[in-house]
Amino acid sequence: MKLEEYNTSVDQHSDGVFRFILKNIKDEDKARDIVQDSFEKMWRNVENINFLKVKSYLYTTAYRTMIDLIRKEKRKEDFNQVDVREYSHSQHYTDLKEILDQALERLSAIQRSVVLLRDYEGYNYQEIAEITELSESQVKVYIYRARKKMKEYIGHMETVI
Amino acid sequence: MKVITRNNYEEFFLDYIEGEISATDKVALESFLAENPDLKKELDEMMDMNIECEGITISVESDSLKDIPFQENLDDFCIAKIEGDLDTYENKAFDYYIASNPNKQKELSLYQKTKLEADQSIIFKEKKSLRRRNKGLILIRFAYTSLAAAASIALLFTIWTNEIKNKPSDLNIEQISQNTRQTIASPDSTKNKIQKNISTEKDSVNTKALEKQDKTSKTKIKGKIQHKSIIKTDALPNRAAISNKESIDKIVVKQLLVDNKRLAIENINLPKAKLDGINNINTTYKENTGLASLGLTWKSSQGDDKNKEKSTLLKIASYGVSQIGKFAGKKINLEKKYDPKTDKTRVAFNTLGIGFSTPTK
Repeated sequence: MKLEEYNTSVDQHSDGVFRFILKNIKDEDKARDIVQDSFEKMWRNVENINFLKVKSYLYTTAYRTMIDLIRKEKRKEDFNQVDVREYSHSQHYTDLKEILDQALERLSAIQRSVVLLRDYEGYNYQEIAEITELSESQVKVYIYRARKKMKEYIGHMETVI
Repeated sequence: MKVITRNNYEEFFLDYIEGEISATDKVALESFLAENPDLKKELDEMMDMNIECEGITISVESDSLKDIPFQENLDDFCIAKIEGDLDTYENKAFDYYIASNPNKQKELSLYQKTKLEADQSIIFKEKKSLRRRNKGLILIRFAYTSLAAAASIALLFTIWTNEIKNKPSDLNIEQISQNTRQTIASPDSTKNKIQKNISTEKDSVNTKALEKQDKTSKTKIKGKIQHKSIIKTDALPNRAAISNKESIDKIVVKQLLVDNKRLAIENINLPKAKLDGINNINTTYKENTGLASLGLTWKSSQGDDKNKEKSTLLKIASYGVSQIGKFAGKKINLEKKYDPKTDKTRVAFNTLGIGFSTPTK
């Protein structure tokens, strides 16, 4: 990858990677650090990276850096378990976007990640599997479970409102 | 109207199959097919494929729907629908099922709401910090900075050295004394020389005036001794063996010569050639190269200025060679070789195994 291509990838993907990480960890400073760290790693390997695979490289690096950070801070959840917290009632959720944000927060970290990669970036199961180091069928299962959970939450909130 | 050719006939075929072709284009197409019978066969095949699709649609509307467990796995089918995991047949069948069961539409609607949309207002603001410049430019800039720093140091060093030359009194007194040890004694020979000269010129020199001048010069020298010469004597390693009187006496002679010069000028009787010789001696004492301030010392041999200069250069060369030896990890010595053919002494050192290189990346 050339210097110009690297700078192009900064323009094309930095926002998306930042949004993806921010939605996952809800910490702007840490999300910013992870983005910078990911691009730094990419720059160090700039000569070995194919420009056509830059996006996948960036999301993979950012995702793994985020997981490492979560592990370091001992905030890692059990990826194989769906979050069992009870849905709490709140009068503040007035629009679908806020309800969806709340529904997203109630997912497990891995469920949240795969759904975000699917919806925000339009990755297919195989691509998500490569980024998250899961099998394709595992990715599909996580996405299906996440959808069911989110649908239940939205349905519950709609009946409340 | 667009003319139909063998390069664009496909779009006319598609419009014909879909029933969206205009009457004019239809006439043109029929005319084209008459001229190209091989393409008529291709059109027929495309129309057959469409008939097969219509056949599937028809079967969905039949009782075959009972074979698909939509009722039991409604959630999975809803998710598969929004994820695009259903094939063409299942998709059409599920659409038909939802349309036939309005109470299930709400379930599908809720699943459709779970599709997230990225908030485009969230952006990474520090893009500038992520962008990179050409590595080559960075290296050139780094090299330029290094060069500029080296030039600055060299310039400062030059200014500093010049300052030392211009202000010899500011030098470290002890270092001066070490370097000038021999120079204190050296005027003895000159003293005798000049005294001889003075004696030969006795007839033309006013001796009384000389004695007077001698006295006045002594007082002047005493003043000088207080400032400089005593310190020089103290710094001598074998100062115990040399009395203050002796050292003062030597310096008196030196200063006396200076004063003699002045006296001779005043009287215009002393030969000019001799004065020039005296003048040279004084110039030698005033000059200081600044080597002492660098921690370098040298002892000049007894002799004329040329020999001293050679000795100084030899010392500097020797120091440089020893430093190169330190870097190279080898012991290198300067060697003097006398060449009888040219009647000259050459100084050389062995450079075998020593290479000079500049690391580059």
